[in-house]
Amino acid sequence: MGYLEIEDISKRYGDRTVLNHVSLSLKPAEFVSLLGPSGCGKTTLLRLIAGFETPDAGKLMLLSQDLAAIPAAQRNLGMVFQAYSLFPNMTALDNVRFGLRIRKLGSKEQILRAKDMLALVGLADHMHKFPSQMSGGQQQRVALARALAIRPALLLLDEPLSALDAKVRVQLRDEIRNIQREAGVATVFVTHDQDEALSISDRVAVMHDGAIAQIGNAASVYGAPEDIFVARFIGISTELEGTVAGNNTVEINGIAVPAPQAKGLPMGAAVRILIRPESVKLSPANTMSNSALAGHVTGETFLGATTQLKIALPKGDTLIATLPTIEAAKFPPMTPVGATWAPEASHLFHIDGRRVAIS
Amino acid sequence: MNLGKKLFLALTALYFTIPLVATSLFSLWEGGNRYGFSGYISLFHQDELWTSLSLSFELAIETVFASLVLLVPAIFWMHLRSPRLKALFDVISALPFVVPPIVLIAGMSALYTGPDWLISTPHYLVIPYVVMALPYTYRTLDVGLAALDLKTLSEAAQSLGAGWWALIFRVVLPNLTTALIGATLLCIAITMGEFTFANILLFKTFAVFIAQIGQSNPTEAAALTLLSFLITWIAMMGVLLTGRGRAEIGGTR
Repeated sequence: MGYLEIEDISKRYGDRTVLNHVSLSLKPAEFVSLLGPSGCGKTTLLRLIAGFETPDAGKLMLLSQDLAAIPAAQRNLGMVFQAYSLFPNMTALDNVRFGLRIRKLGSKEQILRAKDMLALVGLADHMHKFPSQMSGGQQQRVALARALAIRPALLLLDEPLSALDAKVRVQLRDEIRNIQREAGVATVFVTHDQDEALSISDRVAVMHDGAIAQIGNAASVYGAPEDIFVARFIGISTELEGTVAGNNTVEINGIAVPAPQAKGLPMGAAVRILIRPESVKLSPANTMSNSALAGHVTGETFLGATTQLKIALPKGDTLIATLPTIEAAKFPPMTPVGATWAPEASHLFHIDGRRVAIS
Repeated sequence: MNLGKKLFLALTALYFTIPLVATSLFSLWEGGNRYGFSGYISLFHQDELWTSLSLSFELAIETVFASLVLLVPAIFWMHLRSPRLKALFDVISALPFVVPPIVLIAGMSALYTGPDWLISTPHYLVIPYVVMALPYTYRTLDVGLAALDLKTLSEAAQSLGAGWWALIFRVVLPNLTTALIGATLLCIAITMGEFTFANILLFKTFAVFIAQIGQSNPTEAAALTLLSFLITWIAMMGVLLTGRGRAEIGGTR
């Protein structure tokens, strides 16, 4: 049994199903992100764990203890909110002490622990400041220190970075991860930002329409999407339609492209092929192979070390390719090119969105 | 500032100051060409001044207490759990503006029956006073609570282990001090100057005493009017000063 067990949880608001039989298990000290577009149910799931909402069906177990009968205030979970949630009438130190006061710790112990926590988040020099005297990033750090000070059984982070500007966001997300590792506390992190989720999580649960579409480490969620929603939501890719033209071949726009995943599918079956931009290889049109898709470069976006090229294919499709900038310089706009990819680098889906099982 | 604006400001200032200056001059008049403080001296030697003043003050304190005990939990709950009721609360709180005091008092004398310790004493006045102060107290508290992100703060407090008691006394009320002081001072200002209810129900409050003196001794009435202005001003000044200090609650920089 896991540290936190979410078993078959469902939640409805009126006739709208927000969570549909969700199950998830956390190991001790694990960092799991709930990632999905708005309305996918990720925040509701977090609020159920916190005890601010009650599930209609299913079970929540923390350390083999059923949470159903335990009110939010007694669950001993630390939570950081999206909105600034520091108590405006208290200094940073008093905010961090708040949970310890409630627990009636000795006042020396309270201050010692609160100071330790503020030092952990790098705000030891700001402990006498009021929230209105601190930046958004500092406030969220204090909120993190406050949540950790009570030595929670579980840390819940509800989009804590989304109100911050981009630079602070990246810096603070790495800090959150380091602090979480140091504190060794199991953490559920809700976000709609895939960079955040992929960069700091042990595992990412991609949520869609009230269910977990896929859960796994960042590499598997990105590299082996289990359905077309995950493939479209995580990272960028080009989606092309084709038909099965043989055991290891798919035909796209009349070109037979090698695709070992198509093995065993009936001839003529409609499929979708997704290709990540970094898998695409380009060659000049005059040296291209038979299995290459012909097109021409229509646009380029300079990204520093790499450059993203857009390639217009016949029938109106646009293929996105990311190449090292030096390489991309060989293909200025309007250059006719041939595009190929390693056969195993493409992802093949049935027309209904399921991943084609590799047989 | 051009001449037109200056002239306008000067006229406005005169409009407000002339009656005050005239009243204070009149309060010092001792007949003929003589001016002095005899009006004030005889006024301060009247026991009725002090009894009516202390009665009004007592009623003011009771009104403050009743208003806050009634409104703080109600508005707190409305913000936290039933924001949809806000429209209803807004309408109810504006009713005292629409219903004239004379109608209210007719209703009160016709409908309200109750124990003697309440009905036959001036404390009965606290009921209409709470109603009359409602538009001001409600709005002040409503604005104060709306400025706090009550849902997030209460969830944060709960996640840290706080129950309702700790939430209200350690988080909500301390962040509401400006609004509480504002509501209190507005209550005091309104109660100290209220005339209609007390006069019709035959209780001698401060305002009723002013009116009576005015019929028999006009210079003392003028002195008394200035005194009552002063009390109201002090209360208003208190509202302004406390409102200014911590206008920045909860924001970011």
